[in-house]
Amino acid sequence: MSALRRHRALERIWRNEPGWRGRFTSVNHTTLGLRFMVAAFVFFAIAGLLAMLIRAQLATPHGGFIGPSAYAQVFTMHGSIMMFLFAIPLLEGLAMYLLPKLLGARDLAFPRVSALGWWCYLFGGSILIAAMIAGVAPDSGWFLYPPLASKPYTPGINADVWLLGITFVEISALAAAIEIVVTVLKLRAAGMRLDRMPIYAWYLFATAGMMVFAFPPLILGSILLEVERAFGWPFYTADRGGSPLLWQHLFWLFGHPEVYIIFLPAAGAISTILPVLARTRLVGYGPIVAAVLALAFLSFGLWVHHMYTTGIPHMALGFFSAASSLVAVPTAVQIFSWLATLWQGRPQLKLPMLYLIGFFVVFVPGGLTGVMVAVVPFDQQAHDSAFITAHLHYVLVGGFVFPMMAAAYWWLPHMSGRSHPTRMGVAAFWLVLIGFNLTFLGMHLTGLLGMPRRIETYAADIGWTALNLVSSVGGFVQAIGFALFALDIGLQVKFGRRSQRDPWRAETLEWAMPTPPPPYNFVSLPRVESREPLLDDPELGVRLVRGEGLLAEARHGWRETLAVNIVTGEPEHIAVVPGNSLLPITMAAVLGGFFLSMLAGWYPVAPLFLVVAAAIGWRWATETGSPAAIGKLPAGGGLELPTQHEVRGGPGWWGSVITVAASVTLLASLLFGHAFLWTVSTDWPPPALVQAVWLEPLLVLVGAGLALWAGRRADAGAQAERSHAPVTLAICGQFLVFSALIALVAWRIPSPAEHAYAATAMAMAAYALFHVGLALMMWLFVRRRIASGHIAGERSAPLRIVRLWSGLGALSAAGIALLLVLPAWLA
Amino acid sequence: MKAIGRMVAGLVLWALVFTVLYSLHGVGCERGWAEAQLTALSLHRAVLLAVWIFGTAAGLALALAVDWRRERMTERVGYWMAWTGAVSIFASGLPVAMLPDCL
Repeated sequence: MSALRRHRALERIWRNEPGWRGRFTSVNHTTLGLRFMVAAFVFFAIAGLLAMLIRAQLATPHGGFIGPSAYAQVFTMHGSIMMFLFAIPLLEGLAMYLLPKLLGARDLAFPRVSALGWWCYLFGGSILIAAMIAGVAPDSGWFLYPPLASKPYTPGINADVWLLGITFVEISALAAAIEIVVTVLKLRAAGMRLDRMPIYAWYLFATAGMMVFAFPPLILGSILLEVERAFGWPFYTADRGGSPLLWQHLFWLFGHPEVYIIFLPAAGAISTILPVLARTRLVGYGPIVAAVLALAFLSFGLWVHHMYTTGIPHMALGFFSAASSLVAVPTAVQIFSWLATLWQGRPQLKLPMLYLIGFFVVFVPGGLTGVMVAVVPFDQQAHDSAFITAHLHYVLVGGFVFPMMAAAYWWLPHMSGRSHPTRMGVAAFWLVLIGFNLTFLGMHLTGLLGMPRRIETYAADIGWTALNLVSSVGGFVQAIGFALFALDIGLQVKFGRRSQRDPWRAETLEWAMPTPPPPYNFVSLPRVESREPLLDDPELGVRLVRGEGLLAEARHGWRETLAVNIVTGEPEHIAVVPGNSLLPITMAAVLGGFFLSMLAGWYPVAPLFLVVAAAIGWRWATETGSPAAIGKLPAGGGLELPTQHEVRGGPGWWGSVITVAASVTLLASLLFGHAFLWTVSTDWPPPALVQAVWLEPLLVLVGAGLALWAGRRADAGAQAERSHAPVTLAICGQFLVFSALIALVAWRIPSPAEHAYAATAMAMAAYALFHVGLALMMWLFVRRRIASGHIAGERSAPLRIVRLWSGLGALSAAGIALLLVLPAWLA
Repeated sequence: MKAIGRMVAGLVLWALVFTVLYSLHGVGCERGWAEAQLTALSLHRAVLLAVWIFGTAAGLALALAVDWRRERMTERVGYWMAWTGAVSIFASGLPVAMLPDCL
């Protein structure tokens, strides 16, 4: 087959649908990645405008530009948009666009999940912006501390907009995290062992892993605060056993790793771009991998360093202070590796390099002030002052914005197929760099002189006037720089000359394809022997277009890509990923209906949307699997491989493992909350609220045991097609657990509005009920799939997946039932 | 997956010890262990010291155990991570020996 015919055949399979319908049904990672990035920059522009309002207000003493109420909305939205609608989605978009290309794959592991994430992000972000236009934006600061954000002090819907809108957006973050982890683990080029992965893949893997564990605490915290606001369950209300500090713990359990979640992908871009521009290899690939993984762990031990002034005992503060200082070490390992790379090579001062220099200049001081605020006594002085505002901007703008601007210039020829036409990027760089330092360098001093964060005005005689004016002028200089950057990018996309395929002479796989990339990325999939495949074989791109790689034949209309062994990178099976679909946007719209009805206070209506979402989920699942055996198929190069339908450890399995890990983290956060309230509350549990019941916990245990045993039998009997009876038993077991939990909730747990103990008990029961209900639905689905012939013989992977979820439901229900009755039994 | 598990074992251990230390610190303060004297030490500090010393020893044991497996990059990373874990356990637990329990 000629290269052109092969291209046309693959194009037919992988392209988006034409016209307007294609905008709603696309699941292609290139399209979605670009959408994420464009939308993120639009949100960045909005948040930037808000920053200009802040600086205009603070430019002079007694500023009367905007009133205190609007000012509170402006600074809250500035922070919230930058963190949740710009930084995380931008890294998601870049990862979505790049990862399969870097790894030599044709798509991400779960394209419909990517699309669902995109629509949730767009709809959730739109809710926040619409609220701002309507004048009901969140106004309690970007970390929304109760009691300020609680109902008595924020009676309008402002805080609800944040809680519901951000939680909606977080679905996209979790979806992207699961997607990235599984793609890195499974969908790589043949021969791409772990130690041959491009360094960026390690960064994205670590980042996504962090997101899996960091987002659940925030999602939980948001749900609890919204439930408190909506129904009066007092998780954060001190006079009924709750504590506002619980929110701070849950928020910063997310919030500190979040800093590294934002930094690491940007650092990955540096580790990718810098060696090419220094015309050498990255110094210390292994130490950098170790440093990145160390950061991924250590960053979870820092959350209390945002809470040094909350009265936590000194010893506990010491644990977190030590961890906060330790985390500087792996960061320094990366910085020194980059400096060594520059030292070893012959650096070229091309435009992306200029922005990388900007990174060094801005980020290093931010990191050093980070070490300062890691020290408890200093932080107690600087806490909640403009010093912290300056520090966090040095870290985030230095550690994220500058590298991302470098990345934009670096990969724009890839995305647009056009070269850079103007010198405007240089002017933009100097304006942003100078403007940024004018804005924030002096702000350290303003903070040390005592200016608090978030105040909307100040007196003329306390020495902050000149510094604030300089900051405001700098802010506007910076804004002009960003506007020039946007204009420059637009000009390149629109008027740039046709770029050559690998303009930077980079050696990673994304440059071994035509640019802009076709929807299938590679005509045939590469086999790699090192970390620099294009250095080994500069003609690799041409050979792949000729069909000399793997999976070169388009067949059955399937979107095929290669799945490999996690460690060795040897091909294991063919992953067939789903094509264009309306399901993701439909699901996102229904979830949007749920969030909007909660926002409007239509609580009886909200569950109906969840029922519809469950029905869509059912339909979603029916579009997977194969009704008949397929067997091994030729994959090129003499290889014959099974499809994912006939293997047990495919992407679906790993996706479930990672999702279950996220869910268990949410449960662990809930248990932490329960234990935390126990340690701070004087009457926990209140004796009047606990009942020594036996029947319901016993039924839960019996049902859970039955579900676990039957699930194991069903899975073991799958090959021999003896799963039907055990599946029925598993359904009975889960139904028994579900019924007993309902009884426990209905008759044994006291009113959750009465005391935080009852509220957390009810929250835990709700967690168990949700998972048991999910497991029940999954077993019913499996039963139907066995009857329809989709699950039989080798095609038994869904049983293993459902067994995993069923186990989570049964074990969490049993554990929670015991935990709820334990205090009474002990008493 | 085992290869990745071995790579991060040292810091998984750190996370475990850190969580146990912080949890026991909170529980001990709430239950009044700091007031219960065991010879020269309070019960609270004795428990925390035991966890810290045991955790550091476990971290060192892990680092020494993986010492000889360093042929592949993933194994070298596992080795560095094991030492990072051991040092991190020691450093982040140091306040147990230096600061007041529940003040």
